Amino acid sequence: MLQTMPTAWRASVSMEDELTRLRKGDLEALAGLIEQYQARLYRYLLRLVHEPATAEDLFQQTWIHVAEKIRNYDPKRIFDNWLFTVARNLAFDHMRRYRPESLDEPLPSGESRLELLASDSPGAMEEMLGAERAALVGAAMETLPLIFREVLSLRFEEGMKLEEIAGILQIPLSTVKSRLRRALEDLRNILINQFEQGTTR
Amino acid sequence: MNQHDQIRDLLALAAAQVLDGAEQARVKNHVHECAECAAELASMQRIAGALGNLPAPQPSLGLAARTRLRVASEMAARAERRRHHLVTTLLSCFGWAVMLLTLLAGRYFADDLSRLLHLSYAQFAIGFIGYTLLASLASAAFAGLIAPHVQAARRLS
Repeated sequence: MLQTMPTAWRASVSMEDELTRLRKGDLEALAGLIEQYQARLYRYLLRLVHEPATAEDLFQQTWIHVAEKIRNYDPKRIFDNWLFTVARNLAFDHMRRYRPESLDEPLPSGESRLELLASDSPGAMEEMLGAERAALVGAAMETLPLIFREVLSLRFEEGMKLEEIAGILQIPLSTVKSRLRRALEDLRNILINQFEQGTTR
Repeated sequence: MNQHDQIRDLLALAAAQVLDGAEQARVKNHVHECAECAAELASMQRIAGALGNLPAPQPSLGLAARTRLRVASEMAARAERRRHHLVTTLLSCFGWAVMLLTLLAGRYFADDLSRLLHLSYAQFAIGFIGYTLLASLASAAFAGLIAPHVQAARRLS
């Protein structure tokens, strides 16, 4: 803890400094910010759009937007939230333009939740999750509708609070909660389905 | 809705660790007594744990460097466009000012000029409009001709 505190503090001061320089028009200040957020921002965009090339293009567009609109950024707001909101808006604009799939409607699963909650389900889940759990969960997550993928990514990969997620998605807190619940339940149902299909083959 | 169903609705959020203290306590107390909910919570927690440990996708090599270059190039292009816009606006304002001044001068000297050139007022007005149009076309053609040379000179500098 004692060792990590100064590092975190230094990182925070460095970011403040970089944001101030960027606001003054110093584009060199972007280098540190891009490095710092590269992994997280790219991962979030990839979760939204699936395609690495599109995610990288949106990643670049996000930073162009940041460089151009940095004066609109309120320093009282957490930079992460503003950055992810910018990225999300660009991703959604892109998908509205280039993808016919609906952005707002969850895919009908066609499955009954009660059927899938059979008494032996948790045991089956344990067995299935024992091997390559993360990879399977990741693959199953890819099949979820966008509105569920993004809420899962922000909560579990970015570790954001519900209030922060609500701010980024620009939806009420209650909607974030219900989406998170539905996302986890649907994800579990998908995994159970996959397991059951695997065992009956 | 009985308590079992109410708690069942909270299990996913409990696994996501987003419930407040009171709700979390309610879930905890219930799962002590209900094996079905305890098993469901356990499976949800495993999924939540797996979501927190998903393999991080790697961007292609040099993404950060390419991004910096693209941002710099895009910002330079936008600054250039803003400069062009400013110059065009200033030139337009100048053009309008000259035209208005010419119009005022024309009206002031119209009688003298018409008398001097033996023109009626209508002929003079048509001539003036024609002059304005020709001058505008000539200015546009001139700007089109010199623009590539100005850009080339800027590139060289």
